Amino acid sequence: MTASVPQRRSIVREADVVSGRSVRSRTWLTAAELANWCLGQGDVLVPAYDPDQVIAAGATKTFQYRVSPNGRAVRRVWRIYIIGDTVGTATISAGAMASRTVDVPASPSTAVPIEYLEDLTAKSSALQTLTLTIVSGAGGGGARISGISCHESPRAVLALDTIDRGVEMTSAWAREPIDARENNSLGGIFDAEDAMSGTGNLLRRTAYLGYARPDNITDCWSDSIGSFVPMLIQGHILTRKIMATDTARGVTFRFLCRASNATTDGEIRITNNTTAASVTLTVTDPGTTFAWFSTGLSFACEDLTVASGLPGGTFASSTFTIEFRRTGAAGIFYVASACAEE
Amino acid sequence: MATSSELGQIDGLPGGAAAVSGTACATSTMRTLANNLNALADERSRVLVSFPPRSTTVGGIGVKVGVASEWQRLYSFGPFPLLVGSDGLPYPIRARVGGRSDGVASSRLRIGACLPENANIEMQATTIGANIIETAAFTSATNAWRDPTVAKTTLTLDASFLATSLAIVDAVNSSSPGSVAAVMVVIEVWAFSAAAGGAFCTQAYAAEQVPL
Repeated sequence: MTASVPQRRSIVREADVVSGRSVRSRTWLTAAELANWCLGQGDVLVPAYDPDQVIAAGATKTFQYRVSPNGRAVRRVWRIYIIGDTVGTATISAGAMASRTVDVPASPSTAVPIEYLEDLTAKSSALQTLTLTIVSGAGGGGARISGISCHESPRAVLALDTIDRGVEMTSAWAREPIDARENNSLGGIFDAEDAMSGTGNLLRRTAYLGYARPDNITDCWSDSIGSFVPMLIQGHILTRKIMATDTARGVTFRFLCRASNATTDGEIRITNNTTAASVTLTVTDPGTTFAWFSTGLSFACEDLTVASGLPGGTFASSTFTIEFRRTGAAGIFYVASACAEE
Repeated sequence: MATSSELGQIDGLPGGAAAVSGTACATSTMRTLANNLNALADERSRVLVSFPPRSTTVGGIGVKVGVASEWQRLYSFGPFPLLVGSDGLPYPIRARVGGRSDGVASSRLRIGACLPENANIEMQATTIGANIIETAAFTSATNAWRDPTVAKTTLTLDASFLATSLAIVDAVNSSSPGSVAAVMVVIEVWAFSAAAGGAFCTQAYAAEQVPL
């Protein structure tokens, strides 16, 4: 009894399903394999980026990301690249896992890769904040963080339950009865498809962007002028094509914001450069503690008739700009993280 | 290749096992089930690198001061376990890279998807493979995406990208340790500049894409 996850995907032969003819069990066994493959791959929670941050010896920097996982992962893999001025150490921690201290050799121009495994205590698809803390060792010469990413580890076997939605493979073998129970045979395949399909279900694209700067008012984005200034420019978002008729889908943006006092407000404007559509997120009285605020904007879907997936074959179909400014009373408006998901 | 005959999911399926229990299903229902599973797998792809610039003038990492006219690694991201298609080849990767020069020096950038052990050789090779994109030469001191000389938007990975054993756990609390076969690749950015310290990479993007 197992819902194993194959290494490579399969293709269900639609042409095998024809009126008046029996469908071979092999067709549905392939469908069970494909459902398990889709469900068993991990998602990227933080696409790789360069936070462009130097952490002085002995200092601590914390990066926060807002994500809604698909809920089947049991391990997250953080990859951090550090450029050390001199020999030193860095201590990494994320979530509830114990911290890990690693040596950072002197590497003034070449990043040193660090892998940090965050094993989870529970599967969760809830909207949550991922926190990554990096402490530069006191004896070193400081560290420049040149890359951060986080992805979920793939699974080998899915559980036969309503969370993983694994399909028990032997139930789709030849000569086995056609069964409509959950996690079994055609019933399991229908269940898995139902769990994955549509918007907001268990196969969402969990991250289009995850760009965090340290969550302190010295290192994050800030504006005290009152006119829009760039936060991120020339970025790319191309959404997952869900329904056959889709040409654009919504993207949810989340920002970690605060202000220098209780009455200062801020605005964040996101522009789809292709359509010129924009949305302005008004952050009213965020106060002096960082908190998350969200808004949404529509972007073009991938075009599955084009090899690159780019509508029209060009990247011009998918760029965005994010700007921000302080509004309201005098003061400073801060943003420490910008994340985008399906 | 994109395998869904409708190039996307279509409506009309019953909602799960309970809805089909004890019910005869129409041929159209079962074909829709097959189409939708293929569509889900086609669009299972993930964004691996999403690194936009913060302005047109600052940010990024530059080539070494004191070293000119040689390819140098600026960024390495990952390694990531890639999706593998039915033919055993990883999904191609839609990729783009950008940066700035010093306003004078001729500079170029490369973005590639490589097995970790091969990146150092492949990324600085005289003749690059299908898994690497090289931009046309530029001198501008403004951060911008840089297009390749020959239009190319995807990194293609061939049969040499073999799966390796990847240690995993299969249950919460670090239990059920095991391994899976996975094609692990790094996304790397390298730069070449005629002047020492001349080229900077300020932006990169890479996302999986079902092959056509």
